[in-house]
Amino acid sequence: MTFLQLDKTHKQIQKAVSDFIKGEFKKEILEEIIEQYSFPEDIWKKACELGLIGMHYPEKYSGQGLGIFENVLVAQSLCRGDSSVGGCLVMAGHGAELILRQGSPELKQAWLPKIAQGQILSSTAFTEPGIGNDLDMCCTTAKKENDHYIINGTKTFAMNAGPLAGFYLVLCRTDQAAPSDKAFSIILVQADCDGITCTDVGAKLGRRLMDISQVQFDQVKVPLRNLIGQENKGMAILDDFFNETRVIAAAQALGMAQGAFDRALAHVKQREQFGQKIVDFQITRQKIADMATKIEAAKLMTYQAAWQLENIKKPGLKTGAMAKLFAARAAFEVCDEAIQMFGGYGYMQEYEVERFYRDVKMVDLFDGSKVMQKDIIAAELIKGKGI
Amino acid sequence: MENNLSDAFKTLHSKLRDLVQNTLDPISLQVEKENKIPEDVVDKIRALGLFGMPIPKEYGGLGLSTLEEILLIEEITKTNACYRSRIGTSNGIGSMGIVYDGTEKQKKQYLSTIASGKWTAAFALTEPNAGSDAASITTSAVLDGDHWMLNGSKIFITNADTAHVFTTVAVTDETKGTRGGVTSFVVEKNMPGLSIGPADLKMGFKGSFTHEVIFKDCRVPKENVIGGMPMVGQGFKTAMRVLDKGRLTIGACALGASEKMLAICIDHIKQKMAAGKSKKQLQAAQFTLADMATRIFAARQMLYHSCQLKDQGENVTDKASMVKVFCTEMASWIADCAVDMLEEDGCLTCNQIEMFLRDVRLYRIYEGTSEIQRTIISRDLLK
Repeated sequence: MTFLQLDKTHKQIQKAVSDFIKGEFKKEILEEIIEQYSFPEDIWKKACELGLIGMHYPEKYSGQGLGIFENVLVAQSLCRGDSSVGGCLVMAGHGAELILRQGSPELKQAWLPKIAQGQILSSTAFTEPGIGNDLDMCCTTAKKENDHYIINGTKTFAMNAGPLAGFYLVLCRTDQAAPSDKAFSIILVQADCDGITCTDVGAKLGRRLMDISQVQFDQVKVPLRNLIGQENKGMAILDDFFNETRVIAAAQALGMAQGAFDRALAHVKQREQFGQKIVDFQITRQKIADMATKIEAAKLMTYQAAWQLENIKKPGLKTGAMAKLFAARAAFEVCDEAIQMFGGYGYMQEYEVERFYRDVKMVDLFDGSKVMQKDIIAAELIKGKGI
Repeated sequence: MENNLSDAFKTLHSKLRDLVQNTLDPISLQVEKENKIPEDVVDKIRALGLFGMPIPKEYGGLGLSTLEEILLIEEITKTNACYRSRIGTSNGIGSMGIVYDGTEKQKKQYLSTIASGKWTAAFALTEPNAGSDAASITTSAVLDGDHWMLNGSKIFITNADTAHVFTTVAVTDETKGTRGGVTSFVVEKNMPGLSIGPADLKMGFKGSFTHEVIFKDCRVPKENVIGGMPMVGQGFKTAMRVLDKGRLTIGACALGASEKMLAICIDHIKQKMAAGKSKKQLQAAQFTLADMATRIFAARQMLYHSCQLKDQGENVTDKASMVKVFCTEMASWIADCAVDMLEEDGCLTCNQIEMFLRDVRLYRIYEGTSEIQRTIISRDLLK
């Protein structure tokens, strides 16, 4: 049992991100980006120059050689600066951990530097229309033909699937007969392959600056060496991947909650009604306390989960699941209260908190529903993996 | 309760249900994306008399009771919030000042035009420094011969873009505050010195617009005080009465939205079952559906009951506050659960749930925040 304390490196990272946000997340620039629903390319490239993307990749792959915990700190701070732009930056390498943890040295060399250097975005394509979280119902197939896989199928809610994606990490059925836990593989499909059609999923609740698309694969030819990890071990690989991404998701939610809280607190300290500052009403103070307590608990769970993934031999899936479940829920409640603290202004886009609320709800929805997270947690506890 | 509704009303209710199901809801995504209700659709709403639901029949309205009006609002809100919003100010805050306190001449002059939907009415009370604290308004009205000169700025005014008349609340005597110093006026759009700012960019309520309304030496005829010159200084009471009824209305809006969301969720779970997902895996979802339905049942009872009491002449100020708080918080809770239930699909506008999540969020804020409602309720309990 250890108690976490941020050390000098951690504090330097937080300061670097904070300075970056002060310098680059200017209100007019952000307003323009948001109005145009465009991916924040300039800010993304600058973030890459600063080493904020792929911090946890080894230095030989253009990373900083740091760990999950440092990556979590960056994710938290970027999303605190802005939920939408920060969220885009954090998600720029979404899926890269599959290459990092399971990919061959050739795949790592081919792709990780490109992500860290801001040349491409990483895109994941797991779920399919109508199946939601039930990934074992996937129908996309990868059939071997000589030295290639031929991939056919339709994926949806593929993150970053758009013009900036360099590749898609696709969950495919590689064994048509075996049960689902031994039938799937993760295959890296280069975005410029023939036979790929990308269609935006359409108007959505949040994360509006990100490309999220339906991706159709029609006889797409992919070299066998693009297999991630072992063939037919895709589900187990995904379990570990989601464990890590759920902690990053928790960090995003935490950052968004802090960002909304910062803005709401600043507002109630200066806004006056009924002859006093809103912050001087007892109810406002009760809310501030509730919000801060939720943020504190979410922070500790997220940090603990990140630490456990790196330091405990078999941390179990409930680590990531609990962190995301709690942090996303707490963050949504904090953002909701933040809107309320702004009154009518809270409903106006100009005051930002409604956007934080919408973006944080998106975190709640992806990488597994709440019901699924709880099923995962319960299953491990029942098996004897105690708290 | 159904037994007490007239056949004429039941027919109207049924026609509205058809309109929602066959016209308003099918174009939901288009209205959301284009941020506009097509004019021919507004005409269809107009044709049912829905711009004048509570306006007395003698003035061209439908003369509906509170309960009847609430039942129609519950129906029209089972889709985008903007449709109700389009008629809402004419039915409520924009016109009720004239209905309650207007002179006979004013009622005859304005109400039938509003009820027919030819003219839209809006309500201009809120200011940058007067939100919940409506008593802090500073827009001034000074008598200058035959005219009042109005100066000031109102914000977040619903339907300011389409309104022909604005029930405007202004300060006529700074020294008296709300007891004798505030007056309600009928201001027409083309009166000199009135201008409308650009539309606010909002979280939701696409297809419905709020704007700043600016009064710069705006000349309003002397007789346009609601209730005439004897009512000078009595306008704050008028404004508060108008807002009182609005709480039941917003409760109905939240209820309609909740019912539609529940229906979408039930459909979704049925589809999952048809696709082979086992009941065992859907138990959590089933319990959530049960919780949604239970809250809706409770909300409906308190809303309808309060309307009936109001129609019987009882003061329902506190009950109306309870209804607003309960129904609007329920709607937000249901929307949150509904987005989860649909998993990734919950974030797509085409599935409507995320639109409802954004739309219902406003209900806890406008026409009296939940904090104001709790203040009203507890103040009465502690009398």
